Amino acid sequence: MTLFARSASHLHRWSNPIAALMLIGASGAISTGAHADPADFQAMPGLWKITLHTLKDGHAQDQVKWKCFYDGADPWTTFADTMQPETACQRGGEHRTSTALAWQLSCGPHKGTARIELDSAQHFAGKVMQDGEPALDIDGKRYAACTGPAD
Amino acid sequence: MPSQFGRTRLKPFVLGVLVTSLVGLANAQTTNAPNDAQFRKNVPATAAKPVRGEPGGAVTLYNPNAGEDASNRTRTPIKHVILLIGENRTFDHVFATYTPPHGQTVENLLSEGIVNADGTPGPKVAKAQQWQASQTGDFQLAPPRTSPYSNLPSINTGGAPTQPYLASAAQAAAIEPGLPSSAYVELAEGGTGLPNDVVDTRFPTTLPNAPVDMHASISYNDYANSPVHRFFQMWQQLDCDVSHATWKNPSGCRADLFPWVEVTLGAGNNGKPQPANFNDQSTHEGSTAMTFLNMAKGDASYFKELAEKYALSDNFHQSVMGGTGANHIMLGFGDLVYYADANGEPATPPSNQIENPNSQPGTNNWWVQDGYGGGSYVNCADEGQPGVAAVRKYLKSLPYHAFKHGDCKKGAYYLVNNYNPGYLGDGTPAPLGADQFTIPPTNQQNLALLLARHHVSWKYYGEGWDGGKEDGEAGTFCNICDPFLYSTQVMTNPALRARNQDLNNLYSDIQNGTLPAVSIAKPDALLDGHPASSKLQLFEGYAQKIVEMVKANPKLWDNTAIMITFDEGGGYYDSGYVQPIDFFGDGTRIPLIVVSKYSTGGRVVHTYGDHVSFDKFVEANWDLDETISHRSRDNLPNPIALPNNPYVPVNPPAIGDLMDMFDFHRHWDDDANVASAKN
Repeated sequence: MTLFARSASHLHRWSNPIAALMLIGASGAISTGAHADPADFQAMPGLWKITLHTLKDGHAQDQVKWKCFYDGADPWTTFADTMQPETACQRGGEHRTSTALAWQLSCGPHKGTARIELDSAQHFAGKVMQDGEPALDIDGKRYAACTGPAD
Repeated sequence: MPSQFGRTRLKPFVLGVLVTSLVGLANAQTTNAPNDAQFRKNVPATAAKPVRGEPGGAVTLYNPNAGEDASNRTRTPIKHVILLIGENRTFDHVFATYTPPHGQTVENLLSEGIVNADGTPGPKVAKAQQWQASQTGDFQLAPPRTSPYSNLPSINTGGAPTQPYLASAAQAAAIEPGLPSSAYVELAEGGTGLPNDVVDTRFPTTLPNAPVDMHASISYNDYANSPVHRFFQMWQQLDCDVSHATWKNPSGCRADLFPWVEVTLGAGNNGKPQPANFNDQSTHEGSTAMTFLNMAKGDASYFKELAEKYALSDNFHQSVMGGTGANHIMLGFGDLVYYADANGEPATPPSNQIENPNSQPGTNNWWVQDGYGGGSYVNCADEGQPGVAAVRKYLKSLPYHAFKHGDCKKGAYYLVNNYNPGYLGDGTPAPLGADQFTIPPTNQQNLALLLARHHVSWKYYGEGWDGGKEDGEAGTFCNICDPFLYSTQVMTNPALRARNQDLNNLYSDIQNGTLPAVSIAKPDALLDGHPASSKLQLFEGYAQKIVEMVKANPKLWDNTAIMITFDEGGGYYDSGYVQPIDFFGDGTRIPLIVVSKYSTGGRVVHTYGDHVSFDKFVEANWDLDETISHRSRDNLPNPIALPNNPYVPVNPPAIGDLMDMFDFHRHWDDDANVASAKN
């Protein structure tokens, strides 16, 4: 990991649009080889309400989960793990940019893909596909601040 | 032997009371007594009418606009007080080598001979010697010491940033409104240049057993690591045992286990087993707690300037052992809040959220359950609960009764570390559950409700509040710092909730002459001075901008006091006396500077105080004649102390009301209404 990438792993806590622009600009100037660190995900730290809208098997129901995305947290753990359609599912093939997470799911014999994408520092939307069919629609919105281990 | 202990520990107090009775209850204040005797005669020692049936009683709706505004009815010329709260610095960490103006004395590392002005170990460095210890099994407040460190464990980088958080002064200024123009560059400087969680090679890797001068190794402008600052850890670091009591230190707290607690447990384990190959660097702290800034070498120059010109306390304390959330709650409530049901009655939290500081089998001080994502509640009335018996046994061994016998309501699980408050900024109750680490809303009484009842105006200015969205300044608002976010009565009342505002509201209120009587102002995480995520000089800049803004409004400067302090010591070592008050604290000393026209001269005030002293000041200044609740610490008396031992109250537990940080003698009028009419 480059020195800058390591530093950027902390900048995420200030990750509003201004900070994101700064980060992108600075990374280009300092190191073209700097790749996204897990903590570069440009979601604003705080309390997020994640709504999972189930589409599978003809049943439509919403499930709400509240998650703290705090300073230093891994977005895979905070966001992606929340969206597993079943607890037995395994995540693989992870791909990340500063504004999106995409991964593959393996739930026993069932295979799938998932993706969430930030349209602002305080909101994202996404979808989980299983066996080629929509399984979940996902909506994430930041509602408040959240304390973290560094406080 | 109990009887022997009893005689030894009682001796200082018996002697103290005897001498006091002979000399006539001398007061510890450094203020020239004849100058303010008239004033003092008219200020109540403490407000005396607690609210009946609280906490946990029926919710009362408050209408702050009803009735005559009493904000201007004060017993002194002070019509506005602004409390600025930084983060995580002990008195010795900041004022270690401060030399006060001629005629004043201060108790710090330099005056105690622990360090020299150049930061090297002083002739009495052994006073700060740090030890290793052994805790297996149940939690011990003073675990058996094994041997002193020959060298302190090396300092770790922890979470200190490799590079500064922001890239340039211009970019910092685009995000952050809270600094003087010349200070923005500080946000773009000071990275460690090192990875996280490794030995910090900027410091010597071989450290003598002594406080560590940061100035000798890094710039004041550099980021550095943050030591542990949690409830049971701090109790253990202070190593309190009355068998070690002395006349100057009757609590017997030796403050000699700071690095040992850092390297054996650090900031908690959330119930996880101890990692394989565990060593002194595994908690990513090392001896960070022993570092200090060197004011004699130029560090903290603005606070030095303020101390030399205005009034400094060298006996002011964090009110709760541990960290941010609990200390802000104590400031706002005069008490800690507990896990409550919808009726406000004590309830039992999820089991994974209950503290258990007993050691896991086969470990030395690696606890069963403690951490941000683990235990943070304590049912302190029940000695069968983990960790409780050790603290209560110590409190009972003191030669005085702890406040309310520990101030633990039966069946109540008190929050002693950082969990999210019960309300979001928009007034919505926060989600609860075993994985939320959020305390339910409370209807316990607090300072805001007291002020509302008495028609005294107040605001809490939290930087980043953004109208309750808590997303300003890139989401750096501190939710656990706003004590009123925990309160049902405040957060469900739109008028009271609206008194939570942002930093820019403070600026406009200062400039427009609309400042309320009582203001509490909190910087965001960038500027609060918290090590690793901020730097002390950034909090100096935050304070400087506000002080200069008040001074620029002559009418406001005539009748405003600005109090600058910290939420807690951040886990840094401090050599000062700690007075145990109840189960929750006090903890280590923290700085307090009072800036006003009535606090000039560079006086150093030695009267014992803690955060709740601020509440007592408000109650005395606005003549409220009522305390927050019958359990709140503002019921404690003002300290009485001996002239030759001014730091130790002989009427413990006692905390001051900060009135002796002022000298009103040239302005004081016997008639409070006349003082009011001067505005």
